[in-house]
Amino acid sequence: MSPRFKQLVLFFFLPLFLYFSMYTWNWKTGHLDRFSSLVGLDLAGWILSPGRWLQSNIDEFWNRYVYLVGVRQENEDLTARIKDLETELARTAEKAKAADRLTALLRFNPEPPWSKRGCRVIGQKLGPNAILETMLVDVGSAHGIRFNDPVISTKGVVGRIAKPGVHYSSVVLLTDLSSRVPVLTSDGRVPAILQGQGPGAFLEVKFIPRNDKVTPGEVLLTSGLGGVFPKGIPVARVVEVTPADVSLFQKVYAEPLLALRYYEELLVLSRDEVVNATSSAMAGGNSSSVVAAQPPGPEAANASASTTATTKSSNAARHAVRKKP
Amino acid sequence: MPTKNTIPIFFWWTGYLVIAVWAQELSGGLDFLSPGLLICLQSRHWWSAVWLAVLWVLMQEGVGNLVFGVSILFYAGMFLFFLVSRWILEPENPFFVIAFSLFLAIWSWGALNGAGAFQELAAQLPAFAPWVAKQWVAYMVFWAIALLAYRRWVQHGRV
Repeated sequence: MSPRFKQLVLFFFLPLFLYFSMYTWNWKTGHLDRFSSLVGLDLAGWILSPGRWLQSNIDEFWNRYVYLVGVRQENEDLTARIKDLETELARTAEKAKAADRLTALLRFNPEPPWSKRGCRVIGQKLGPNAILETMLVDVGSAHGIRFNDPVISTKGVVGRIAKPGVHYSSVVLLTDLSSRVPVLTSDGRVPAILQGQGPGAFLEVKFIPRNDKVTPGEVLLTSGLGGVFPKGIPVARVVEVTPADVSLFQKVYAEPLLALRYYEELLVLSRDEVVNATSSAMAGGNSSSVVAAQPPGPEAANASASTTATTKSSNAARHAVRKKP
Repeated sequence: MPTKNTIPIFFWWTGYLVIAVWAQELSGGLDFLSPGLLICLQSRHWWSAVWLAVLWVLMQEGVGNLVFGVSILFYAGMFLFFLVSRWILEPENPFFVIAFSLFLAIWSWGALNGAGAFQELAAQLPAFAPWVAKQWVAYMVFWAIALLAYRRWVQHGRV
């Protein structure tokens, strides 16, 4: 064996072989992904948290003690709004009680309870490898947060946990291309799939049959199918409906109910463990329970991403991305 | 033996990491960690370059959405190109940094796009020219500032 060939093997083929071995091993096991998530997310979190804390305190001080323009007027408006809401609440509370009574009467299975946990957004796109639409929040597996837990605000759905670290987690937003949320229209109760189209673009509402009625302005709610999001959370508002010409489905676009990137505080929903286990057992391991009980980890993320990616590549060719005007 | 007005290397790199992570956050996803590694390579602190590369890989992979490995590929390419380009230009030469930063920006875009395509990830990857231009400027500016600070507080004179 010539020395030149030995050098070629030593410095090119051997590192290449080792690299691909490591890559394949990690692709299957996810150990390195998990380890880098623990180190990277927490390190970034510890670095960004003090700055964000300082920023929020300065903002709060400015808004509370210095910038008081229009506070009196705002106070009067809010008092009037509270009175309206109290009246509305009293009316809907009666309806809710009636709904509970009817549910019990018809012996429906109770909805599994979800616990809420508040979190702060401390980072957005952190580095070149963050190619999905993500943000960093200050809760992680140490707080009971798991892969795929829904993330919402007081106005509606924001996204889901894509990568849980120990104290910090990465949230993939509703607008990301890999995001799919099963929804229902609020008036017609038409089921559909809401798909992200990237930043600055409308969301696409897929699989609405041509004869089903959907109107612009209608709110889309989570349907609870798929087991990731609980039923009934507002997600988006329909902005455009184009009747189908030859297709079986209408072309429907929607916009999120909130500016996803401008929220500072969010809520992470988690299923109650005991009830989850019970409901899984009762359901005999149906598909939605399996999805919700998926262990946190990159292999699960990879599986989810790869299943959606196949559909994405074919869909991307068929549907042009509709940009916001 | 550290001279007067120098700070311990650990604190210097901790400070560098904090500033670079904030720069990555505020720039919306550009890379600001690699110029530190370039300074290590230029000053021939090979062991510092190795442990920094390991930390940078864990950091970038941890906050990213790709399957582990693209950062290793990127830093290996950076190291190889550094060795090759040292035969042509002196690492202290400004033209070296200009050319090297351009290569890094293009290589970074290529590695990310390659990995995204290989993993069939549903993501909107940035357009080539604007992203490379921004990253190129970011590398040069950050490298120049970091080098000045490095000369002032860590290693006086030429690196």
